[in-house]
Formats: sequence, C-alpha cells, structure tokens
Amino acid sequence: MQLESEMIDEVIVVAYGTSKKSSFTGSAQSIDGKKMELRPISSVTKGIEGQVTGVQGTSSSGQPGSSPDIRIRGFGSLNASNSPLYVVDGIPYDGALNAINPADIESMTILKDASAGALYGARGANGVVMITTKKGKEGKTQVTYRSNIGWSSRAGHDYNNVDMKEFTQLLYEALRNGYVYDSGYSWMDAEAAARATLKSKMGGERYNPFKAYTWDTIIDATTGEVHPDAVPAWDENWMKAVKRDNAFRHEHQLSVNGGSERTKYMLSLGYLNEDGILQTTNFQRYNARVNLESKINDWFAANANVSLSHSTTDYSNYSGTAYSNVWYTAQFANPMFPVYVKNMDGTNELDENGNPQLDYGEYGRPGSMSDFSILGGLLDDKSSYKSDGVGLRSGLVLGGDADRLGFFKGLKLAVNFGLDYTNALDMSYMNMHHGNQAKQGGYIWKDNSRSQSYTFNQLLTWTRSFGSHNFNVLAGHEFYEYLYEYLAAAKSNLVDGILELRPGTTMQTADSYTSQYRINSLLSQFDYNYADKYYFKASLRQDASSRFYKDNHTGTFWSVGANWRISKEKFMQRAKWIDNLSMKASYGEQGNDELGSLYLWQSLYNLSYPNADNVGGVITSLETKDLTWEKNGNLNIGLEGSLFGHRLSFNVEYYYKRTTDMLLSYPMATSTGFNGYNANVGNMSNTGVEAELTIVPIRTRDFNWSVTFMGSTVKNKVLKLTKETPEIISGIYSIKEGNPINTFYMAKSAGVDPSNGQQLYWAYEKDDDGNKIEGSDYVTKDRAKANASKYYLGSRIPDLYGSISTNLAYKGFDLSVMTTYSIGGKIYDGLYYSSMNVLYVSNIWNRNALRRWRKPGDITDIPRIELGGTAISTDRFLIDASYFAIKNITFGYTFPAELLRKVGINAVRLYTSMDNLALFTHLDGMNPQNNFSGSTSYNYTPNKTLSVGLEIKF
Amino acid sequence: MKSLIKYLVFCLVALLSIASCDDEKLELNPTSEMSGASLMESATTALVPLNGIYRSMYTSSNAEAFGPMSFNFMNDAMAEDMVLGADGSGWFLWDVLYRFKNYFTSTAERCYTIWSMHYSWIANANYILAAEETMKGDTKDINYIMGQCYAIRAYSYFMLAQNFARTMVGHEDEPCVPIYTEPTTPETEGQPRSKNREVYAQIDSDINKAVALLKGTTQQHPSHISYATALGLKARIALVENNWQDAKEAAHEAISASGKRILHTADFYGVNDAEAGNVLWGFKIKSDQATGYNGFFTHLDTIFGYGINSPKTINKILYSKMGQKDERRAWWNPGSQYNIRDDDGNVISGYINDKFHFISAKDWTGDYILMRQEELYLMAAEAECRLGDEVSAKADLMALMSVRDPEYKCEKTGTALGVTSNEETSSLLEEIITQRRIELWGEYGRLYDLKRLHQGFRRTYDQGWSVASYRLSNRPTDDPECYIWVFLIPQSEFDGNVNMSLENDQNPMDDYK
Repeated sequence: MQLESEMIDEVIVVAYGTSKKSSFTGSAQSIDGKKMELRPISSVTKGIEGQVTGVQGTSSSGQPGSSPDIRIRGFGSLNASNSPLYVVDGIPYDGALNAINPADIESMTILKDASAGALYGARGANGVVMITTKKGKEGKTQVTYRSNIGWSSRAGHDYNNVDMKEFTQLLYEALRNGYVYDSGYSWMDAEAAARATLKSKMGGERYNPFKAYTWDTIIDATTGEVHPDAVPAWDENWMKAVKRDNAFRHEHQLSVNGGSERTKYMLSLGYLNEDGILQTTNFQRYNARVNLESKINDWFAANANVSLSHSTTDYSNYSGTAYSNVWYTAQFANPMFPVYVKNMDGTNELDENGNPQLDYGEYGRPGSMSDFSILGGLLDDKSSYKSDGVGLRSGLVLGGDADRLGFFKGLKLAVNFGLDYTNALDMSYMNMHHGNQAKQGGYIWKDNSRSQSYTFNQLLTWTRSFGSHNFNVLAGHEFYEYLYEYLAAAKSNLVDGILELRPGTTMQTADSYTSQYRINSLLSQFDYNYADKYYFKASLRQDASSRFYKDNHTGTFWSVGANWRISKEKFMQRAKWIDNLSMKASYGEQGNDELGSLYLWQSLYNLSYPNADNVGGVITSLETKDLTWEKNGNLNIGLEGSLFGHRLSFNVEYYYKRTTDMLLSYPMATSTGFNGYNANVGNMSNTGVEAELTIVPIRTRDFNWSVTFMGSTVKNKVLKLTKETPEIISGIYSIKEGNPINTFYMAKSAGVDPSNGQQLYWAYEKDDDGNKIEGSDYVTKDRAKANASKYYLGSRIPDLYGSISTNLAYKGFDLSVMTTYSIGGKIYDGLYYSSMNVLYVSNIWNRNALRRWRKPGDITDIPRIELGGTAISTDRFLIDASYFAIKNITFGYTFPAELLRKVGINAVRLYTSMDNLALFTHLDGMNPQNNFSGSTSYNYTPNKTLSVGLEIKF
Repeated sequence: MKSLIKYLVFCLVALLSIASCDDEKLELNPTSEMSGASLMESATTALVPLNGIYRSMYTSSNAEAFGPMSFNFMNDAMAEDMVLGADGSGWFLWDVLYRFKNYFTSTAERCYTIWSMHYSWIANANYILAAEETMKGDTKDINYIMGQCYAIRAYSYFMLAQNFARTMVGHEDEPCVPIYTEPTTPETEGQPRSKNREVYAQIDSDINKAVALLKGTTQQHPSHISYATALGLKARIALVENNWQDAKEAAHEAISASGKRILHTADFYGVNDAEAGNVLWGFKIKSDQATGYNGFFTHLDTIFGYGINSPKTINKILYSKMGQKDERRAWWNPGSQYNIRDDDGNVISGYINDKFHFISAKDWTGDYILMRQEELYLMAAEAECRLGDEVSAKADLMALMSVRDPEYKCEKTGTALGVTSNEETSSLLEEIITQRRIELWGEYGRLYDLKRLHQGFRRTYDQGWSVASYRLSNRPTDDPECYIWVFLIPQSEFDGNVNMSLENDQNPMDDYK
C-alpha cells in the first residue's frame, strides 16, 4: 500500500542534506506541505501549530498577512531572541515570512535538538524551521490550478461588558464612593453630590441617552438606582461600527510541474487578496517561483530557484498600543458614547444630504479621546506597507556516484549561493480634519527599508559504502552577510488628499542608518551507519561573528548522536507485529547570537540627540568586550516505532536543554545612569516530554481513518542569575532562580471588607534578609503592605499542550479535523483588570463588576466601584490559561478519475475549510494565545475563516 | 580522462571561489553612533556629548516627562496656584492628586522618570568631566565645557534632592540621594543614600566650580549654561539652603553678568523665545525635535484639547492680588469660554492660561524657558529681605514691579510667613513671594518654593478648585513636615543597588512616615 511505503521511507530535509526519518539520530519532525495547501493560511508559520510536538505558537494578530511567533522546546533565553532560525531551501532566510507562498511549500521540518541543528552553530539554539519549496518532478507536465474563496469574522467571544443602564449605575456609585471615601462626605451628601456630578462627568445632556430624565434625575434618590423605566435613545456598539463581518478572502494558484531525467522544472504563480475583519484593512500578495534543476552529466549538476513576491498591507497604525487604538476603544469605550452625533432629543443629527455625522466628541464628550471617532480614524487615516521580495537559491554540484569516477566516486563539491532581498515602503498618514494631527494640518510618515542578505557556501561531501559500512562525510565553508539600510522622513501640514511628503511644510523627522552583520564559518559532519542498524552522527561548526569583540568572536558548536534500529536486530525478527522500532540519543552544544543589537558589546554615543542646530549625542550603553553568544547544551532521547502493519505509530522524546552564558542585563543601580549592562551570566533549563501517537483504526480500499494525538510538556527553570540579584522583578513578573521564567509575582487578594467595600490583601512578615516568614500571613487593607508582600502565583507555561486531529477518507470524500488544547498556566488579563478598575469615564466596566460591594454589610468578592482608583495588581486578574480550540475542519471531495479522464482532466477536487472555528477559555474575550508571557493587549483579534475551494489538475 | 580533467578544473575554480576568511571583515561598527573616546579627545568634539545632554533635557522619555520643563510643570500642578479645571484626558492628573507613589515600581511613571532622567544627565556629565585633564584645546574652550558639566551635575543633584527628600533646612541629616562623581563602568557599584547635608555639599562644590570655570567664557547657544546662568542656579540653591548672603551675591552678580534685562510682558509674548532679551537659559525647540503631545505648550496653550478640556488656570485669590494696571493680568483670561462655569455662568475654576503659547502649534514649536532675568531680581529681593536689608529688597522688587505695574507700591515690612500659604501675614517677604508666584506661574514649580519656605497649602473652592476631589481635603497638604510630596525611589534602583534596600532606604509610602 502506498501509505505503508510512505511511512517506511519518509525522507526528511535536515541541515545540509536529507535523512530517513526512522534512522535519524536527532529530533526532527516534518510537516507535509499538503496539510497547509487547503487551509486559508496566508503565512507559513500559521500552518505549524498543532502539527508537531514541542512547538508553541501565539495566535498571531488578525491583521491579514500577519505571522504568529513560535517557540521550539520552551524558552532558551531571557533577553536574547527565543525565535527559531528559518531556513529556506538550505539557506538561512531573512525575507518576510509572509512573502512565502504556502502553496509553494513541499515540506517543513522542525529541527529540535543539537544533532539536528548544531550545524547551524551560533544561530541554531532556538531550533530551526526548514522550509523546502516544491521542485520539478520527472514526467509529463502537470498543471495544477487551485482557487479558494473565503469569508472571515472575528474569532472568539467579546468581553462581557455592562450595558448603558448598568454603566450609569456604576458611574453613579463610583462618584458617590469617591465623595464618601476620598473626600469624607456623609453617605447622604455623597449621594446628592454624585447625582449632581453625573452631568459634568458625562459631558452634558447631549450624552444622556435616557431622554425621559436628566443627569440629575436619572438616579432615583430614594432607591439610589437608575430609574427602571429609563430607556436609552440609542445603542451604538463601537465594535460593530469598525468590524467587518464576512471579510472576503480569495486566493488563486497556478503551478506547472514536469521534466525529463536531466532537467526538471517547477513554475508557480499565486495571488492572494484578503480583507481584514477591521474596516479598511487588507493584504494582497503576488507570488512567482521558478525552480530549475539540470543534471548536465553524471558529475555536473546545476540548480536555480528564483522567487519573487510583492505584497501590500493596509493596516491600522494604532494597533498594539492603547492610544487611539481601535481595538481598545471598540472593546472598552463607554457604551453611552454614540458613533454618530446625536441631537438633544437623541436622534441622529443629519447633514444637508441627510447623512448621520460621525461624533468626534466636539460637543464635549468627556474622557481621553479628544477629537476622535472610532470609525473616522479608520476611514480618514491611512497606513500601508508595501514589500517586494526576491529570493535566489542556486548551486552547482561537481562530482557523482558513478563507478567510472574511480577514486573520486562519491566525492562531490557543491557551491551554493543564496540571496534574500526585501525592499519595503511603509506609509502612515494622519488626517488634517480630526484627531491627533488636525492642528498640525495632517501628518505623513514614510520609511523605506532595504534588507539584503546572502549566504555563500562550498560543501565537500563524500558518500561511500564498503560492505555494511556506510559513510557520509561533509566539510565546508560558509560566509553570511546581512545588510540593512533604513531611511525615514515625516512632515506635517499637508495638502488634503496628497499622500506624499513633498507638499508638507514642516519637517518632523528625517533619519537614516545602516546595519551590518557577518558570519564566517567552517563546518563538518561525519555520518556512519553499520548495516542500517547502528547509526552515528557527529557534527562540528565554527562560527566567527561580527556581533562580538574581535578577541572573542569565534565559537565552536558540536553534536554527537546515535540511532539504534532495534527492529533490525535478529532477535526482533520474530516480532512480526513490529514494523519499526528505533531508539536514539544525542547531545550537543548550540549557540544563540541573536542578542538584539548587532553591536551589543560596544559603548557608543547615540547621535540622534542634536540640540537645535548643534550635533549632540548621549551614551546609551556600557562597553562589554567579554560579551558572547548564549550556549545551549541539548540532550535528546527518543523512542520511535510503528506497529501492527503501521496501524499504530508512536514517537516519544525526552529532552533536557540547558542554556549557559545566558545574556542578562546585569542590574546596576539606576542612579549610575544605567539600569544594567549586558553580560553572559545566567543559566536556564527547559525539559520536557513530547509524545505523538497515530492510530489507524480503519484502513480499507475505500475507507481510511486515522487519529493523531500530540502532547508536549515543558518545564522551564531559571537556574542562575546574577550574584547580586537572584531575582529580577519587572511589573507583575518575577524571574527568580528556581522558578520558571516570568513567574507571576503580585499581591494576593483576601476578599472585600464588608464594612466599607475595600479590597483586602494577604500580607506577611519578612525576616532580616527580606524573605517571607512562612505562616506569618495576615489580612490587611494596607496597599503598601500588600505591595511589599507579593506572592509567586504560577506562570503562563502550560502543564500539557498539544493537538488531537483526525483524517477520514471514504471513496472520494475526505475530512480532516484539527483541534488544539492547552492545560494549565495562567494569564494576567490586564484588559480585564482595566475594565474592573476603570480610570476614566470614557472606559467601560466588565459585567463582573456588577457583583461589587454596594453598602455596609455586603459580602462579595468585588470591591466598591471607584473611578480612577488606586487598585493594585492582584491574583483576581490571573485567569486560568487552559483552552480548547477547534483550529480547522477541512472537508473535500475528489471526483472519480474515470469520469474526468474523458474530458482530459487528471483530477478535480472540491473542498471547504473552516479555520479557527471555536475557542473555549476561562474568560470570555481573553485571547489565551496573545503571547508567551501570559499578558493580554489591545491587539488585532484573531479571526475565523470559512473558505471553499476548487483544485483542478490536468 | 578528458572529462576527469574538466572535472578537476571545475573543482579548482570552485575551491578558489572560497571567500578569504579575513578577520577584519568581522569588525563592524554602527553607522549612526560614535565611540566615547574619540568624542572626548578635544574641546571641539566634546561639544557633541554636551549638547546631547541638553537635548535629552527636552526629549520625552515617558508620557508627562520631557525634562526640566515637565518636572517644573509637575511641581506647579502639585501645588495650589495652577488650578486644574477638569480631568481632560488625565495628563498630570496623578500629580494633582498625589497618586504617583502607587506606581514607583513602574519604569513608565513619575518616580522612575524623575530619578532616571536626572541620573542619566549626571552620568553623561561624569564621562565628560573625566576627560578634564586629558582634553585637548584652548583652556577657555575646555573650561566652557567642564563648567557646564559641573553646573549640569549640580542642577541634577539639586533637583533630585528637592524631589526625593524633605527640604534641606531642618532635615540636614535625613537621607537624600546617592552621589556619583566618576564615570560609570560595569564595575560601578550603586551607592547608598547620602544625607541632605552631604548632597548639598556636593551641589555647592559643583556649582562653585561651574561658576569659576565659566567666568570669562561666552555663551554659544541659549541652551548652554553660561556664567550668569550658573550664578542664577547658585542663587536658587542658596535660597533652599537659607544661605541668604550667597543668594544675594550670586543673584546680583548674575544680573550684571547676564547682559539681559527685565522685559515688558508684551516683549516676550507667549514666554516661548529662548533668545528674548530677558532669557538666561532656554531650549530652542525645532519642529523636528519637538515632542508633540508630550510637550509643555500642548498642555497649557488653549489650542489643543489638553489645554481646553483640562484647563490650567490661575488661583483666583492670587490673581486678585495684581493691581488693576498690572500688565500680567493679560497672562490669564477671566472671560475665556474655556473657564469652567456654573449654571449661572460664573467662573468656578481659576482663570485660564494666556501666558504660555506655542510659537507655531502646527510645528509644535515654542522654546522652553528655564531662567529669566526677572527671577534674579526676585531672588535678590528675597535674600535681602531675609538679611534685614529691606531697602535693597524693595529696590530689587521695584526694579521688576515698576515695569509690571506703574501704580505698584510696597510699604510692607517683616519676614513673617503663614504656616500655610492660605494664612496671610502681609509681610514684605510674603509680598516678594506673592510676586514670584504671579511672575513665575507655570514655569518654576511652585511646590519647590513651598517646601523651602516650610509652608503647607490648602486648595480651596474660592481659589478655583471647583472639583472637590482635587482639593485633597483629607490629605495633609497643610503640613510642611509631611511626606506627601516626597517621591519614592523607583524599584529599579533597589533591583540594582546592593547598598540600598527597599525595607530600609525607601521613602515613606504614605503621607506620613
């Protein structure tokens, strides 16, 4: 059966070559490109989640074209990068992830351990994602056309916030409580003062939706409640105003594939147009790729793989920060504020054409959003990003395996040249009529960045077999250079409608700089196997990197690994039910030189401080010549097997990763002018077990059914920080020796004081060293004591995460379902916090605030309502991060081949795919995959997509 | 065989293509930065790090923090004379409400920004001062640079001391701030808090060196601290130290050395021109160096919502102390539509700012003025009054007031001051302070004065504090000995300083110890 042979001979792309999966000494998992082809995925990393063990991903933003971050086997670093190295067709990739057409991908391999990744030296410690694009296949030319259209909406639930009447009630109580507890009024006086203050707080009667009452009368003085018969004259949800439901997405792919024994080719064209779920946002991409391979004779081959991409992104410039950010205001704006200007009677104020007018707050809307309309900002301001990418992978191979080459048989010299070039133009425009830049007559920013990197290597390999002894030896040299040039300018006071700098009268910024980075490397690998039973691999790489001071810029990275195919042993031959069983172990040391800055060790004056017309600079960092890469010792032990005629296959791996020389900002007293200097001082470990199990309960001619379970654990532990500071506290996070990275560290709530509704906290006594005295806990209302008595309250890292997926195929029908899950871990939901502790009248309360303390004697978990109160972060806002998500369901039908042959078509397939179908979490609105440290922010929310597609091959 | 030769030739060519592994290729430097060593070589290039310090004094580091101008503004917002009419977008509200202590762990908030900005100026100055012996160039040029660095260091410690400790006099042995006079290296250890008297000894030493070195040099740019500016700073410091003799002498020497004169308000309209005839020290704000929303005029001028929705108004009782002909009446607008009114149309806030204006709001331009000739006269008058020389005191006061108000007369005498500013004594000293409050409203940090005068204050409805919560009626602003205005040292200091602990070295979290 085809299925069997695939499983036995699965060949995966690994560092500087390929390997059989069953005999590979390291940990590498491959994802078939077919698993992404049919999903409405615009960026490659979206296809990784749930497909391999040991990889965690963020949800990525919903901005079309955005790419999620991924982490392979935990977190190797505190201050340097934790992102994996991306390699496309054998060469480290510096282009944009979303410039790669997912349909061009033949496979992706995730290299997780040292045996797999040590050949990437100083860049491999965080794991490697190897992307291999499609190549030409020998045979008759095949044309594939695929078209896919879809509709996206916002995924997940919204936060559950109060309505207009509830808001009025809470605001009134907040004002009253302020008068009682801050200003010392009597309860009665405070109630009267609060009723009288509503009007000014809410910006006058125009913003009063309850037209039967005025602000002074809306609260019934006898009950202290909003009059039950008050009816709002409008209810304009800001989220509805900016959201685009059923945002349209369409994608078209054409590829041509074929060739002779000597020359093979692959050509593909792709077009994608995706509207965002936020009004005005969009992503468009054009792709082309040509992949040519030619075997000129039995000792000379050449190949070239050229890709071109052009993409345009329309986005909202305010995403990600709170200020004027639509995702913030749409979710958390005061519900009384209308989208459109209202007359005093609550009806829309119309212009001469009878259209409603956007409310920019010109009638005295209170709060922090001055001259701002949620919809107006989106429509009037413009931000776009254009990116052009060129990729080249080319090479020559001299040498071959023909016997006539005699002594040179098996010896090959490959010379490879790879280049990635991206030119991007970013434009951001703020209009002159309303908002932040109205007084400046509008503002436009443009920046151009040009990034160019190339890798040039010469690889000598020797592959020979002598009896049962098989050798594969590699030696090579590689040079890498990265060059980034940046140019930006901004002007204000523009001409309406012209999105160019030229007419602007006032220079706001003009800047340029260049960054460079080079690595010179020597690499080698020795591969040996005896009778396809015992495998041994050793690799060695030396990198010299421009990131470090010249005396310590050279480092050596290595690995050894072995694989024992137990099933090949004689004593196993009788166990016919075992198809394959192999055990592997490896250890090695990798590096991480991605320390943030390319010039981190240097002490430099930043010259971006001109004082009027005088050149000026300030010192921004301290010189640290000893600075070097982080090292990562990586142990991997695995057992892999396939049983019962491949009905059951499994792979279990254990890993222990230990980062040493971890880059830390060695803390300095802020009074020295610096908060720290960079030093390689820390240690951290990640350990875990990864398991994958595939069961094929049914396998018949017409009906195939398989189920795959994946589960991974990761335990992170900070082993060593600086001597002076065995703990780094930043905000609600603690990084402490013995604890996982980013452990939540904050005050602990002890409920609410029934007499006055004040938040109570747990506090404790400390010994002379400032450590907690166990058992000294007591309840206090004193915030200072609570702030000084913080507790360690867990981290974002889950206990277990993974996926469950299934594939069903019956005759021409196929169905695949993928779900992901994560159990354990916590999230500090700052968005929830700010909607429970409202600072300004322009913000909204979560419905949970309705459980608040109201009057002396009330027993509840929510303190009295305050406006601009002085709440501190407590575990009340730590939410269980566990979730279950239905990531994708794809259903397809392939027309019978006999039917099609008559019309000259090889295959036709219809399919429908639903991405991000459902998400179950512990708090509505919270995105559990916002980031790896367990916080939330005002991001472009993820979306769900329904798509239908058609694939034709002829 | 032929093909084998071809093969070998190809191999050879390919191997030759191996790029030479030249180590020099791996020594790369950024294109937009320079090393410190080369900058400190000569008095010409050392102007670069010096100008950098000045620029960072009007660069925004965090919201509400754009250098000295923002910290002065904060100290006005914390006192009673700059009356806030409404929340607006909430800028500077936590200063008005004294909520900053809650956020001492945050590197985005007040406690951190005041601390870190001043210490970064100190560190930058220390690097330049370390080259005092080795710098090449004309002695005058070197003195010009070193004198300014000493002055910057004195200024920074002076501002830190005033914000992070109770006032010097009466609290000489209370902990102040750590002192550094050497350039920072990775080996530099955090220092413990020095006492008030030690910090002021350092400040005195630095400012005296600055005055000595700057004497005979010529100010090259309004942002640069000149000989006269250094003397002005010395007078400010001496007033805090109650060192009246020094204050008087320094102020007088500054008056004559500055080459500046008292101007009519119309001649420095908007208080936004660093090159005006009365300005000793000011930053020129160019459009591409301005800080936008996070700038001084953005929050005072009535062009933006920030100045309108949260009006900055003058204490009406203070306003009423001006004579009818006082030209400064034009600095506030009782008739403005932006004043907060009750239902009958009466202004219940103070009167809105008309003193500070952008040069061009479109460009965000308007210079930051940090010292004016007028202040020197007021300082001299105050010092003389304290010394009992009321004749000279009145002469210096009249030098200013005769320009401001042709009908102005002063018959007062004595140095009595109320325990709070609300309790009036009608002494000459109080009169001089009153004129300071009017003259320097919005630009000097009223709270600094209250602290050194050992006076509390109460915000009242009659002053214009119509929003009840702003009046802080249950907080001890009337007690000059309380800790409500003593900032907390930021958490990051304790994180990196082995000689300071949160338990033993933090200022009181609450209004009292």
